[in-house]
Amino acid sequence: VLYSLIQSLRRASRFEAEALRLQVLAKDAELRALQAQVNPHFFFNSLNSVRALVFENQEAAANMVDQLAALMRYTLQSNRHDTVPLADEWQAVQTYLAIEAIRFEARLRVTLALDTGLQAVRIPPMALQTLVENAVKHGVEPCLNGSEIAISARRSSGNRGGVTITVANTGTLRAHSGSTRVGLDNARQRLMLALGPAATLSLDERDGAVHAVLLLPQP
Amino acid sequence: MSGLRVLLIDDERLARAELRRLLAMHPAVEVVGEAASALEAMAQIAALQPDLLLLDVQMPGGSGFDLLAALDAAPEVIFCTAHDQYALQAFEASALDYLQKPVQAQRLATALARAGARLRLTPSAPRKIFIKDGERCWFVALADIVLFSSEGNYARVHFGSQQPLMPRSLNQLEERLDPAQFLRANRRQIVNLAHVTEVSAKAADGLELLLADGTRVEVSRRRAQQFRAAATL
Repeated sequence: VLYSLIQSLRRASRFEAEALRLQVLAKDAELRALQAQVNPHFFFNSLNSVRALVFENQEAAANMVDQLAALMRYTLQSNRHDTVPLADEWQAVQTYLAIEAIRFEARLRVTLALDTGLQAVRIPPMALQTLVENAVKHGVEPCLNGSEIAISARRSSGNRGGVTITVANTGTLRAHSGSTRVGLDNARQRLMLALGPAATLSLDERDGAVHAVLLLPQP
Repeated sequence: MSGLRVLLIDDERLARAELRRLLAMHPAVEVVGEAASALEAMAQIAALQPDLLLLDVQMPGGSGFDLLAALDAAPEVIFCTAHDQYALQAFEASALDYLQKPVQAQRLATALARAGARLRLTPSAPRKIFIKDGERCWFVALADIVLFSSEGNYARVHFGSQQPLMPRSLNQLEERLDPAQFLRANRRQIVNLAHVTEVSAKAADGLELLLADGTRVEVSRRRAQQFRAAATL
């Protein structure tokens, strides 16, 4: 009896170890599956713009090719890391917006505000980029007059510290229907897997604008 | 067949510029206008009556599909979009073709050839034509039309006591009309021969036609030769 009990306990702990190993594997696979990519249509539309620009303004076309290359490199490399410095992500977002500005011209109006001292804060790669892409997709694209997009990163007030990153675009939440939820849910899960449950991502509408708010906890 | 009259519909200026550049390689294609939204396109289609739309799918204020649904009679359509997921929907909407951005010159050429072929299949000289001038519409039998006269890029259509304008040049009309029935008398007029009651010779080998409604139409020397050749047994 004792022997069989020991045997079954041994077996149980083997099972437990196996289950744990599988969990780690699953989390890894999950993270990989959730890894954000810049929307492929963005690249196709950009290639279309740059080909037109070649005949209109060669200097601007050459510049746009550089920006596309920089953004592609960032997205490819970013998938190797759980987190990157906010400064890197911020740079990628600026590059992305410069490219979209060529496509949308006066319809895209951007303000950026990054508090000093936040450059080294860790953020999952593409977390901010996903929010900015959403703002362009739902604020600028469906509107003839386009949209303001206001992006800010500030040290959170209160004793909990941390960083608040906000992306705002004119429009309503109703316009953010269907497909975006998937992108947002993915971003939320990546955030949790990389920084723990204290990191949050929320979406709300006030004063005729949609605000996506990313809260990064004090490390 | 006359040139293919094309309307470009895309909310991005650069995308329209690029289509314009690609179409410039096709001498038979005439870009008659551009629209940056479905709403703009509605007005342009009514005013210009293009043969073919190069149409984006996602646009502010309404998609390319919304536009087609709102039209009573849609021209031929070639979709141009960066997305691939609308292809099935596009063909369900009877689109001629579905081009993905960046649009490749070779693919565009194939699509245009397809458009040309389909437009040639539709009778080039319809028995009745639809005319919309402002708020008023007519559906008039060609046999009742006495005369087309040019006014800029438009043609004034004379029938009964009506004289509406239609957005076609005389050159375009001449290509579409049966030459056995309609004569391009001069630079500014096309005459329905069935309404000619008298023909008289004029100086310099020209002719003058008297129409049933009393209008006199001069036939230039060159056109008079064509007329004699066509109207002689």
